[in-house]
Amino acid sequence: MAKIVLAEAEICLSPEDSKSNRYIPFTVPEGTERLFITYSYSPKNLEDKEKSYELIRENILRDAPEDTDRYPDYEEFMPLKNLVTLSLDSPAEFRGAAHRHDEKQYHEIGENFASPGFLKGKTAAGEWRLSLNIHAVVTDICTCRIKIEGEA
Amino acid sequence: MKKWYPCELHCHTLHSDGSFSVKELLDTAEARHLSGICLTDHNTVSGWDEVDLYARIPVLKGTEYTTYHGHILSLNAGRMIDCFNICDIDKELRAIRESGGLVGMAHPYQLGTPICTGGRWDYDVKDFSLINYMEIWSEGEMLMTPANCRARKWWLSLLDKGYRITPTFGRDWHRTKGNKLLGACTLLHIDGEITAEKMKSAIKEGRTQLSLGITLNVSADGKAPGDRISSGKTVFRISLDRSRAELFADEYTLCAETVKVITNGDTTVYEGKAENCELTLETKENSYYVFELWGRLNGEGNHLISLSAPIYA
Repeated sequence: MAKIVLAEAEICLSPEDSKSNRYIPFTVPEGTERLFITYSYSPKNLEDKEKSYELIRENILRDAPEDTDRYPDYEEFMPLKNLVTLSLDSPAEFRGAAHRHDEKQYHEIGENFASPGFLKGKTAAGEWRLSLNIHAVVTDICTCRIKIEGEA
Repeated sequence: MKKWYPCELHCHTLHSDGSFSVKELLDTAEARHLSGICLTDHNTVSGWDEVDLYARIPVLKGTEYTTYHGHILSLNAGRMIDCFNICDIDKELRAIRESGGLVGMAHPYQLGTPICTGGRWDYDVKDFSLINYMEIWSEGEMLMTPANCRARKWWLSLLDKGYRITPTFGRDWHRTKGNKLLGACTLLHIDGEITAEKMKSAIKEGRTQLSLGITLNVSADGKAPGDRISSGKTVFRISLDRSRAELFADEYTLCAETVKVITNGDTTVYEGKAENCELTLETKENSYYVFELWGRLNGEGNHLISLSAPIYA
């Protein structure tokens, strides 16, 4: 059966979006047997070393102010990375999450199979929600691209 | 007759950001001579079904809620929480507890965002009786890393306030590459054969010991870590068991040197040679007694080798 696009989005994030969520609601039509999520974000790494040093310094000063001298090697924490993960809710329940570091991901969710992290089960008709869980944006801009498809 | 069972309480797989399949994790756990594990993938329970297919050792099923302000471990809970919309941390922890689950704090002093996103515990917990266990030893070498040192101090300060929080080790196991101190684990004190339900009870009741490989057996009148004793003159029987250390002798060596007994205020009330012995202490009411074994790791001292959960007076 042909896939139909249920939602498509390009979302630009900045460091101020860190520790927040963005939601992509979508409607699953009657008779849908399988959902497909194609997801990517870019860039993954902060390549600017000077900025990395500054962020790591702030991180250590905030979280270990008494032990700053015990973290002498900032290079071990580089490159700093953007991390934006996915989680999924059906009309009735939580359907799993893809807490992973890959900047390109593809997932399937159906009655008898779900990609690791997601929960298999019927893809009931109704209002679903994909969440972008924005753990950290360390680059000036991070662009997320999402396509959600359904198959009857 | 209770026995100490080596367990790993913090494990990840391909269902989140681990490199193991569930089967590979279980196979590797057995190869490391572990008797049980907790499966705690980030923000999901999708690996639980595979446990039922492959497990030859008991597995306590859980989740590590990897939130923006702390990583919350949940074991054997009957429901999930919305971990990205937490307004009242106590309410969420209570929901885990009320569904039958145990609540743990993972690596509370790990550096947080952006180095390890949300890894530092920043939640303002009002009621620490909601916390069953705290991971005071995360990978590394106990007390040699600033994060573990501060976690131990925080844990002791909570014991001072009367909270009975179980100490645990967590490898935060994602893959075999880069693993240090392969025998390090949480030992659970369990009567009879180990099961997932008995693992849960041992964590809940504080019957744990964190160890690099030498087991510190401590008892007082039949009471052991996690138990309550009467205050007053108390004879503690201490013995050392090196059998797990021998399994990892090709990887690293341990030499026990000193036993310390720590009580309220992080006060050392006894320090003596590490040997099988009887030790008499005047225990005080409303006090805890943590036994620590110190010694040499690969010929170098001064390392904490084992730490028992408290015996309470």
